[in-house]
Amino acid sequence: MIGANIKRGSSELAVLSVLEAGPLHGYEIARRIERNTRGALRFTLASLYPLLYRMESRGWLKAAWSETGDARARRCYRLTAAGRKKLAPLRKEWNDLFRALARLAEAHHA
Amino acid sequence: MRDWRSEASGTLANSKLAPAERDEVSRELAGYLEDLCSDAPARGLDDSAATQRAAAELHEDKHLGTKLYLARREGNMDLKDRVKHLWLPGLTMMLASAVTLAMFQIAGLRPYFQTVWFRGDSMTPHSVYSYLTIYVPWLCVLPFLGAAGAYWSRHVGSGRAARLTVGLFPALVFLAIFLVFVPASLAMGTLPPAEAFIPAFAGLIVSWVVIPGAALLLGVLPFLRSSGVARRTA
Repeated sequence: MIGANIKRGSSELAVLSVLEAGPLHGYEIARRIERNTRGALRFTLASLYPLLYRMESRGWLKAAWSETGDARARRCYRLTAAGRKKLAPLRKEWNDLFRALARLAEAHHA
Repeated sequence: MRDWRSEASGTLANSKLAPAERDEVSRELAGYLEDLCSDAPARGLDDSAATQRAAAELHEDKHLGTKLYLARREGNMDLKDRVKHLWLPGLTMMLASAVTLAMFQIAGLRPYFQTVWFRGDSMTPHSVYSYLTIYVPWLCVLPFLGAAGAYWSRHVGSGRAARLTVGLFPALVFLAIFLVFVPASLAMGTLPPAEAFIPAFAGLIVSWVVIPGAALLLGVLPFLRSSGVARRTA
């Protein structure tokens, strides 16, 4: 069964996926998502931070201040156990959606 | 470089964020904007274009402060989570409690009435009495229901507050009903005089909220001590 809130779900999946490899701060998250999706998904400050804070308050992410290589303090986000647990069903849901859409497109061309 | 921190702070000035919280959020947003400007060459932007883009992102949504405030206080449960962690186990325990009591009553159980006297004073000159309605076998079942609710709640990953709420749910429902009943009776003018109402109300609260709540709590307590899956829920 595919959930209703597709837009929010895709954003959550994107953030959880890039953080699976390790902690990142806000700009790195946005940049990594943009790079990994070849520009198909882009976050701005206004779309990224409400999402990050929401996911943090749900316990999926944990943030802590740390210094970057150039001695600038950044708030870095990492996945929690609850976030990792959330990632697998979200991935499955999206794979189901894309397979369903692919079948639909193939049926249309046939 | 532009002072992004004070600019971000200004953007959040009208939000409900507390000063210390606003300062931390401003610091974080400023970091994002500084990185965006530093990364400009990689994006093929000159400094001026990068600064313009950063400013545009900061001022893109005039409700940003409100959205950040709400996001930080979302309480980590959307509707689906609330159903899973609170309403489904809570209402099930409520139903189980009601069915158990009904079965005992069908089987012929009569409550034990304990009369409680309220001595008159200058405000209520007449001594009045009320009843505590006590179904002992039902009260003996309630710790198991409290334990079942708290276990269920812990099993789905709820925090302590949710486990406690689910375990005490049947008593909390009675409390809610009584608390609705008083203002509704007041509004309809059907509330009896205070000297009759107060003892009766006290009797109801003790019979259906305090004593059952204590029985349920006995079952809930072991599940509050163990941590389970850590997750904030309220």
